[in-house]
Amino acid sequence: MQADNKMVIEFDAVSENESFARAAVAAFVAPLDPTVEELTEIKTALSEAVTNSVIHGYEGREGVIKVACSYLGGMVEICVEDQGEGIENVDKAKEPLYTSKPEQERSGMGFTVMEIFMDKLTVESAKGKGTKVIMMKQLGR
Amino acid sequence: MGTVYDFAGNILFVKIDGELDHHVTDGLRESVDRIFENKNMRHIIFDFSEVTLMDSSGIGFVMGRFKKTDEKGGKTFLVGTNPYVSKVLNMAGVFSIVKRCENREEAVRLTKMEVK
Repeated sequence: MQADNKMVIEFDAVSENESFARAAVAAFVAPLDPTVEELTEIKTALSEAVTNSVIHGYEGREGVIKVACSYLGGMVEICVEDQGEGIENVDKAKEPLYTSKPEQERSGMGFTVMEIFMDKLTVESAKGKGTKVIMMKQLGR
Repeated sequence: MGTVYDFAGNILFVKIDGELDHHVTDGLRESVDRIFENKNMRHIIFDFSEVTLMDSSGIGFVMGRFKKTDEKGGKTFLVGTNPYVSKVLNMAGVFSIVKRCENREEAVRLTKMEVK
């Protein structure tokens, strides 16, 4: 997409990097002067996508997560991509409270949080082909 | 900074600060459960007033601790959840089983009522 500004970061798929990803994206969108509410929603949604890649994408194995972020006007687009396991049934994964890992106390609310906190959510995934989550949010509504 | 634990009778108080995500809940789960078991506690009161951000990992964490206290006939209470944290917890209907209190004193009073 055409953008006023864009950035890409890549980092190891380890849980320590969840807070790094949130801080990096928060800093990147700071010039748009988001409200505390907008920023908290973006950071929370991003946290869900990155956590999914760490837990479900790579399942604790080594891997790399790519986060690309751009904005045009007040429209922010965030893309979180991994080369992990992929999701066999995206519709099922998006169902509230559905989790493939209840034993790890996963709530199954990750995609629901992304959908509620962002304006648009697209999930591209296939078994063995990794997962790409694209989220958009209009600031200054 | 960091998590603060203290006890009164059979109540474990846990004050969490910062951002509650998958990484943080993984560490926190272990310490809370260890203290809860070792000190033979019955109730847990979480103070969330310093939690600035929480993703859905927090839902699993709170529900998991609810189950632990429930097994002992106790309760789990949340104090000081900000609107963003409350919104995430509400998405999964957490407040229908885990009570939200105004302050620690109210939560303590409720544990006494539950014991009877």
